[in-house]
Amino acid sequence: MAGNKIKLQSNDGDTFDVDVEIAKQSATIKTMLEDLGMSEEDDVIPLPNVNSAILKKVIQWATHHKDDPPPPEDDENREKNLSDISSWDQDFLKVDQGTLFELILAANYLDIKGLLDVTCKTVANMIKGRTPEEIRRQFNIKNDFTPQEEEQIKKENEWCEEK
Amino acid sequence: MSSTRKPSLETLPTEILHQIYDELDSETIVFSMRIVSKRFYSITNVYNRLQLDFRYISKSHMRMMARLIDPQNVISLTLADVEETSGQIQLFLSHFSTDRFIRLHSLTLTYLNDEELDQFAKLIQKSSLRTVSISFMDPESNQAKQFLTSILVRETLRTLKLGNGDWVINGTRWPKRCKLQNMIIFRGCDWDIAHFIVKCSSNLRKLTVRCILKYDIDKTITLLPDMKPCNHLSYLSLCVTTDLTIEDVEVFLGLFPKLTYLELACLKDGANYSLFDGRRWEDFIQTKLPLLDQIKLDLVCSVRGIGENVPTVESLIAPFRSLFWKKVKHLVVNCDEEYENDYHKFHLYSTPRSREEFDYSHRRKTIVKSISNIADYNQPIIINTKKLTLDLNPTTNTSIQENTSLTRPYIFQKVTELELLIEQEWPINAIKHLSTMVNLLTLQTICLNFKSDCNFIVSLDTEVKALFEQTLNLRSIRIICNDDIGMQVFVRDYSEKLMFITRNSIALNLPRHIKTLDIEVKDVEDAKTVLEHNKYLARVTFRPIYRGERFSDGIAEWMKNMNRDDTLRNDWGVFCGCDACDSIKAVHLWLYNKLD
Repeated sequence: MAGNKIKLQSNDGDTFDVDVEIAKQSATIKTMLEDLGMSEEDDVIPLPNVNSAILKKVIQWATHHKDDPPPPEDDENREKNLSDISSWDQDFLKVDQGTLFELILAANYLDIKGLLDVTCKTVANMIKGRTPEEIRRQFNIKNDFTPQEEEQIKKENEWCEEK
Repeated sequence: MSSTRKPSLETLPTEILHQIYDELDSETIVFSMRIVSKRFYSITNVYNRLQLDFRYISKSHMRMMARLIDPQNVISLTLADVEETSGQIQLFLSHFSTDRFIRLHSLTLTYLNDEELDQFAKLIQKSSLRTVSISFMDPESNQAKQFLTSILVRETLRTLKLGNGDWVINGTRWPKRCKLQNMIIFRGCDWDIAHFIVKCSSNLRKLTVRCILKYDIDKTITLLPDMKPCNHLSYLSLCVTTDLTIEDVEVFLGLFPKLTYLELACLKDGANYSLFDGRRWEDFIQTKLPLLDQIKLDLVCSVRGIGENVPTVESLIAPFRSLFWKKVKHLVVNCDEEYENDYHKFHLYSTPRSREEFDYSHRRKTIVKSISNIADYNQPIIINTKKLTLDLNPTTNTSIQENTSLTRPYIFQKVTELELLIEQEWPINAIKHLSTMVNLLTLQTICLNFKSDCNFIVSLDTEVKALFEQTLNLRSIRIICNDDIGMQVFVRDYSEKLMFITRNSIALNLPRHIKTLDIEVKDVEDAKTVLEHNKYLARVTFRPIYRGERFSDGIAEWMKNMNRDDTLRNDWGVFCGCDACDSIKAVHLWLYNKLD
């Protein structure tokens, strides 16, 4: 099977030839190939939720990680390890926020656990230790609490402190 | 996913946001994310994989956490009753209902008192704990042993980490149907106790012992009649700090014939290098451990003198050049020789090198020769160490790299505790250079140890800012400007100036994510300045350099005047007999800070 290629098509019509083994890092594609009987040579696998630029990045990531051991299945008790991002991944993920979130959604849709892990860790590192206002500024989020609700939250915290 | 509108954090699906939450500490989730917007408020309240780690939390935040979260949403809990957070477990018990933690999978308790056992027994009964990490204040008490048995009988238990070694295991009733699969023992554990654990835990697959002991060091390990081989253990990791010979190792390992993984670190710096015998290892593995797939060795021995009685790195590495090691086991082995004061010290280790602690400072400069069993081996030597000591000076590090391995850089990828030794000069681009040697993102604690007066060629403020920006997971920082020799601090002439510089550049500029500070101070005023500048700190340790004043009383009085509810604990030095001196070595404060 080594060396066999498949065609992946983005939602804006671009097609990419990708090694089957690289593409199979996506559980979604793996399922299509194995369970749904799609053939590797002729069929084009449409990926309606991923645009061309993001698909290119995903393929780049999957190619670099093609020899990685499979991620552990049982991560119920895994320790938090934010920092476990390789220097290659750190450089790879130096992108604008929009691209980063598109990569997260693509990793989720394609079911690529390693990419989803590393992108989520990157976002977590952008959040960690920040105040609510700093997070709003960082991610351009509007504070939609009404003054009454804000007062309520403040009281909640004060009440806690008094206990 | 729309191709016209870029997604944002706010528009991500809840399950992905919860996955991001999985990577955040509970304080950021509860005190920051929850208050960002209405959506995050709702998402936070239903997030049910909270991991509460109270080692770095202030007293005030711990109390607030008790009111704001539902214990049923917590899957992991860590509590530590150490000097810096004295009384934490008691405070937890007075604010949380332990019987509501019904979804807890992981529990870590450091220094649990006998009086607190009953309440945690309820929690253990009601939850489905898979991982328990525990150390007892009094490991030899009957209550502690009964408590341990109550953990061992849990059907769901898979991993147990014990901080007390033999002291608690001796006399503990080991249930017959123990489901334990993975056990890690810290502190001392005799080799026959280790065998007893494996024998009694028929599901045990992995055993790690740091450190394994042999109480009678003059005799080779001998098997007792009831010691039979245990076929279920496949993974064994041992750290040895007592004298051990190859005969001891053969007897002990012979009890586990189905091992597929073996890690042996022998850090006792003795003159016995029988463990270095690659041919004997080869014979032993082929005959007694036929399934062994992965082997990691990290051995050290010292030999005094010159001439024929001193081995060479070539002679030590030669047996590891056989087909067995290179082609069958695929083991890359290195041997370094250090020489200092008429002593030859040999290090034989496989790579990637696995060692919990590693001193890579000036002591390593004495390496005179290094060799590998693979002729063309030119890969980086990766050291999987968690606790590292390193010189800050890049010139020294470059020199070490050149001396040790020519073109092979050492790379530290998983360090969580770093001690930096700083000599006369803080070099230009020191932090940039550091980031090429150590993965700064993994750091949780850092110690800046100034060994002498330091000349700052570049602004320390800029360097520290660069350090903090790259150490997002840093929780704890310690600054040392004076040597602590035994019970006495050695105060140098320059130290006050250096303390002033480092305090202003580091201690008064701590980012929010740093929760604990350990610093030397001149007097109470110094301590107050640090506290007033750092409202996000959870713990502080002050080390007064002049012990002739009643430092602790002064801090206590200030706390009282400020109406603060911090917990103060003294660390006593040697009492000198003087009326004016309180002999306080350090004052630990667990802080009560109010939220913004």
